[in-house]
Amino acid sequence: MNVIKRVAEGDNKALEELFLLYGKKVFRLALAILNDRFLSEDVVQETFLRVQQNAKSYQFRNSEREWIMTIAHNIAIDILRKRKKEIVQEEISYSEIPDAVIDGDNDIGFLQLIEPLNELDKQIVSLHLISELKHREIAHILNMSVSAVKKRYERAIKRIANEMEEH
Amino acid sequence: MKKTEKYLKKLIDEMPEYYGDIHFSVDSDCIDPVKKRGNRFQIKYSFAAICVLILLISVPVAAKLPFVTERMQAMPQEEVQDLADMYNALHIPADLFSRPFSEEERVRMKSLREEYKNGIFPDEDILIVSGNEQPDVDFYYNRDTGMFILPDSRELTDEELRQYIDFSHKVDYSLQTQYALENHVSEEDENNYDITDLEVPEEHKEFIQACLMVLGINDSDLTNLHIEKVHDDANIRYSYQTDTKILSFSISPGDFWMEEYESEEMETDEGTDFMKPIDETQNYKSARKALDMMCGDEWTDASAWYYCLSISEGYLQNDKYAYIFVDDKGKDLWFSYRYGETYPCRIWISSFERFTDNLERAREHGLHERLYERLGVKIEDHLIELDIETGKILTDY
Repeated sequence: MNVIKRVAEGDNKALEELFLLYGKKVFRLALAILNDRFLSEDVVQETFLRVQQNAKSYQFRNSEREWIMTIAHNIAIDILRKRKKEIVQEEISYSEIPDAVIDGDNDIGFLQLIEPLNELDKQIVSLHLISELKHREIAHILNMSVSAVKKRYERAIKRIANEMEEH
Repeated sequence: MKKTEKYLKKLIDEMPEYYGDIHFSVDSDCIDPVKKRGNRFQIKYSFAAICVLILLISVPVAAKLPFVTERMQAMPQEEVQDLADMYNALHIPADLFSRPFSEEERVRMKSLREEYKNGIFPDEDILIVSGNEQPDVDFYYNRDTGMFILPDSRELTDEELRQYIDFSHKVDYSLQTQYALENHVSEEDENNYDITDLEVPEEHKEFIQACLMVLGINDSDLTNLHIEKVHDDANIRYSYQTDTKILSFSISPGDFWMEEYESEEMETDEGTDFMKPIDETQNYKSARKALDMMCGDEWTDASAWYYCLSISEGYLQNDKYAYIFVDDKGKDLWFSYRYGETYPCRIWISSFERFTDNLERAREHGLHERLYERLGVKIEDHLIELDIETGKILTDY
């Protein structure tokens, strides 16, 4: 039986299976969007909470990966928006957490390379390379045309390649 | 590109792992998420995480543009009023720009508009100046002329483009708000029903249905008919919503007007295509067909005209132009097109004679010359008579 159907019927093991399959990708996608480990972990929690709550309404029109990544992406964007308005900052006090735990600033590599991209390009690159979604699926999530997604993706990769060459 | 992708995927494998797990205890009516962590800071972090969770869950169901709506509604009433008054005092047909947007700016603006919908707003507002003020910056808006001054020797930055997008939304919102306040829009008027069910003047129904026929839209595709009385019973606006557009029909004595908008945002005339050359015939056949569909054999001794504004020799000032069909009955039919589209975005019935009188008055008062002297921008009206059968150019007005 399809794993989401089993989640809809209250099967916790099915939810854990989904988590094992997609948890890491959800976390890394959120990290790419938010560049914040703690908020990204909350995205993971919230994503699977919503997967469980909404499993009954899953329509099977899109793949389970696309569905889950759409949920994760929307949550991350919500947080990004709220962070920009500094609402979330009022709730979380980073000063209480020792520096050793806040290693988000130490993340190098992929996050650094996508940092110069604008928000939309970051999302497109992350959804394709981290979440392993097709351009068609990304277009659906971001409400763009497939050609626009492809074009932006290509330009973003070229830009990253140029940055790598320069440094 | 493949090489870069391969390298990026390798870096992705080296990204941080997620060290928590999830454990949902399923109660029949509630879900209790509990994090299990080996981290000694678990308690403090869990509290913070729950605060975030509650915040997320308590966000109300969003409208189509929740972020933008929220931003607009947060504007002080004084600012809303000022923007509406400012815009209403302008007597120009569209926004003016000191130079065209470049291709690169237009491409960036498209993605910035999408980001704007997702709540990525500018850090500051666009600078607005009055009269002959000459600020030290090279990007600003002149409220007396309705002109955006763009820098000559560089591209606009993302922040500046965001400011422009934001300003456009604020002006639209202000005008809509002022309109709603002045006309006391009644919620009772909002209903889903076919216009043929309504007791409205027959000529209103005919005009609306004729426009729908030209646009190839079925009555059944339209929902959310909203009717507003503007000032009095003789001035009415009918607005329909489809999946992607708003169709607005405005009726007043002597004028019938149809306009379509994208339902998620009102596109302003930003001059995105106005480096396209003027082409008097590009949609003439479409306009002529629309005329036949709407009027059939009722037209006698009609003449055909093309009208646009140009900002430099041979180029459109914005992306719209119009074909006008003038007959001897005094109710002349106008079809306006966006450059590159094959169906009219505006259809209206209005007096051509009144229009040409206004053009004459504008020339007598030297409106365009004043703009040129002040800002160095050459704006011209192009009104050209066409052969009604073939669309070929006959004369310049």
